[in-house]
Amino acid sequence: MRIKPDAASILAGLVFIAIGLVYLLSSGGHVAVGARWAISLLVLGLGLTAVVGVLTRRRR
Amino acid sequence: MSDPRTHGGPGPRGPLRRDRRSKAVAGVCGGLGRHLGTDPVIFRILFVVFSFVGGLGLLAYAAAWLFVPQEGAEQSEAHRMLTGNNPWMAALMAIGLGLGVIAAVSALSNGPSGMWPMWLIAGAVFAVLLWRGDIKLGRFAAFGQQRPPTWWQQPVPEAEQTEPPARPQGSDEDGDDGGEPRDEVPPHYAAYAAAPPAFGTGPDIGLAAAENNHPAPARRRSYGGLVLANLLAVAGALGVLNAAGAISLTWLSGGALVLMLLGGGMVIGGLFGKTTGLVPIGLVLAIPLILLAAVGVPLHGTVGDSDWAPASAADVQPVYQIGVGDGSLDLSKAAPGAGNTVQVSAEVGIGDLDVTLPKDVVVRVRAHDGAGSLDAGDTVETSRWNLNENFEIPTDAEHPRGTILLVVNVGIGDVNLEVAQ
Repeated sequence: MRIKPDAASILAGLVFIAIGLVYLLSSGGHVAVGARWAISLLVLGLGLTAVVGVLTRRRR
Repeated sequence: MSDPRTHGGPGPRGPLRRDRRSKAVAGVCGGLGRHLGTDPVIFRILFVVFSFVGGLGLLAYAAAWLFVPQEGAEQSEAHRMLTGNNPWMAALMAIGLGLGVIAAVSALSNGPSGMWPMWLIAGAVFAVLLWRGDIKLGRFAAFGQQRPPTWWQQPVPEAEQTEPPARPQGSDEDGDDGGEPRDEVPPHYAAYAAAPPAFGTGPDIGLAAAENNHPAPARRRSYGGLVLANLLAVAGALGVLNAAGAISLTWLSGGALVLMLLGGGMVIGGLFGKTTGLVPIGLVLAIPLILLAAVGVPLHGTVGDSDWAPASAADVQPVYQIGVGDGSLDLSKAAPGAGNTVQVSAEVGIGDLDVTLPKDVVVRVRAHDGAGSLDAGDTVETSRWNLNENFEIPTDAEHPRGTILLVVNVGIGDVNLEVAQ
């Protein structure tokens, strides 16, 4: 079976990993994170995910 | 089965049955949607929301699964269990349901103060479903058009009531549809299908019919369900390890870890297929995590209301904590005595905090409230987001009976400080 990676899924996963990592470090006191930065990162990442999803769907 | 089933249509309404075609878990919501002629997504949201209210949604769903027969079946699961060869399973289910009801009643008896996070989560889920197009808000009403019946308003074909539809090999390649049936055009609605899709009709029958004229594009295999199942298993394992004391997770580190695991699962699943169906779950995890961390919710301690009333200054604990629930700290009998100082900290994650202070005592307060109001009588009365106040409640007594250093930390909820009369 031919494997077909999905760029949008990978990008969305990376966004959630990044936010989770930041808050995991924050819980240990290693970094201080502001909600504005986190929300902005989330919106930016998911927006890019949507764009990538649309573009890859068109190419298919 | 000979009874006519015209769910949601103008004809007589058939008996409630769990739906085979719109089956996300056990077909309860799909069956309710067909029975009442309502979008099953509404019921799914309600079940999810009420699952956070003492687990009521899960209980209701489990009860519906047990007692509502599936399409084509004459007997419910509970009936089959009780009359079949597995009476122990029925007993186990009954005990589980009973324990669930007790837990739900116990959780609900704590009052509504801890319930707003579920509405936040439900709002996020609703917004995402709206964004994904799973919910359509009055598109037809807005343009004054008659809406053709969608799949949950259409009658179930006779053949599908008696035997489950044959699922083709690899039928989980539905992308984000989650096995939801496509809107099909029954013969008596052929006029709708023949007509060109009208403006604003959305991805409904008209467009579905138009799409059916073209070969469907190949879709990537969806691994969302597999990733979610693994995530639940790993999250459960983490919870068990945390409860056993093998690891130490706070709500912030635990939530962040689960979010990372979800992201990792999405990346790994995305290498082989599609996992974007998990984005709403990621949002439901990430948004409350960000907001609760922003307001500094001290989610430690117990769940449920607590009343503390130390009998003297010697009985005062250094810290009083509640995770979720209302707290009442009565320090009216805890005057430290002239020249003495007592420090006490009261933390409530989500809920209100009432503190009664002794008379003739100087009280120095350091208060943080993430979202809520602070009322200290004539001294301070304020309500704003993420407030931090340092103030002193003076006394008129010529010889104060000591000093209390009070640290108040409330994540979400109101703080009320008053001096005993």
